[in-house]
Amino acid sequence: MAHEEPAAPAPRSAPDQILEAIERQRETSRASPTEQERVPYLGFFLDSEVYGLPLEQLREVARLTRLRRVPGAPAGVAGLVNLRGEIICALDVRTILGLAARAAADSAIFVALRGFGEPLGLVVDSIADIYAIDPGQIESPPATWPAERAACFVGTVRVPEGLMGLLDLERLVKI
Amino acid sequence: MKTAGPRGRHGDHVRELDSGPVVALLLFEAADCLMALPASEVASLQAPGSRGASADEGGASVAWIDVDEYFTGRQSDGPWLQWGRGERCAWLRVGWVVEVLACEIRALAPMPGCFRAEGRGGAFWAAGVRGEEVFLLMDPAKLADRRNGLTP
Repeated sequence: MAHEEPAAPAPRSAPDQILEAIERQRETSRASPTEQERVPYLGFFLDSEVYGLPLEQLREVARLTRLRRVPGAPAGVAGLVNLRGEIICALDVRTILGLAARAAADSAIFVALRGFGEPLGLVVDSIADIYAIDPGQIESPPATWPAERAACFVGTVRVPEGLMGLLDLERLVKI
Repeated sequence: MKTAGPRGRHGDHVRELDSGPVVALLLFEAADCLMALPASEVASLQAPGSRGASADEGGASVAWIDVDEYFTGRQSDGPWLQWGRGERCAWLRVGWVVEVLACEIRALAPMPGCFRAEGRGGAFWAAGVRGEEVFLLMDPAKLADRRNGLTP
């Protein structure tokens, strides 16, 4: 009796394989956004807490060398910074967010922003990293945060350094 | 700075040099800050302790403002500057006078909006750069008005 070999599956056509691959790709995309769909954020530290701002609103990061404090300035304004001859208003994020006051250390960093009417920047402790944030992962600020503080954020997202507060810069600069 | 003489005028305070328009500023320190006034608005400078000799000259309408005290509450023991702009005048006590600086207009910038708001921070109308340092251009009229209760 002749041994019958199991029938080999019919070779799939190229269009079938391609369509299948497309579907797999789409499923993968739904499960994990592509880099293009993620939004890059610059993370920085104030004390041990990490905060983020959209990279598209970042102009430059520089070491804070000379900060001219302005007598009578509002509490949320750290002073003026000379960035290669350009005078930029430096905001005191620490004060705006209601964190414990602390004099800017020698290692403090100045984060110059763009997209605002006047040259603006933030004084921060140090830079954490650049994070590619999936907008779908952004959550509302914790209910335990005071309303004034929560109003300065568009949301929070979990990063390896902890819960990162994503700053609402448009609101933050209206101090 | 090479000076080729005035090539044009922008009024009494700004002169045109080869490098561009410049303004003469009198720089001084007060309230732990580097500040400035247009030199053309400073009529005289009196040594510390001389206020008594000239206090009656300006009459009651002249404001005497200790800039340190205005901003920090601490009295200064520095010299007095006689400031004048049109009909307005005041004596300003500063920590010490640094220098008269020929400052290029392009090195100055209007004060950012957050400083122009009401309050003592509104006493400055522009900022400039001297080397690496930022200085603040003060408007003594604002100080005098606030001292006299004319502004919040």
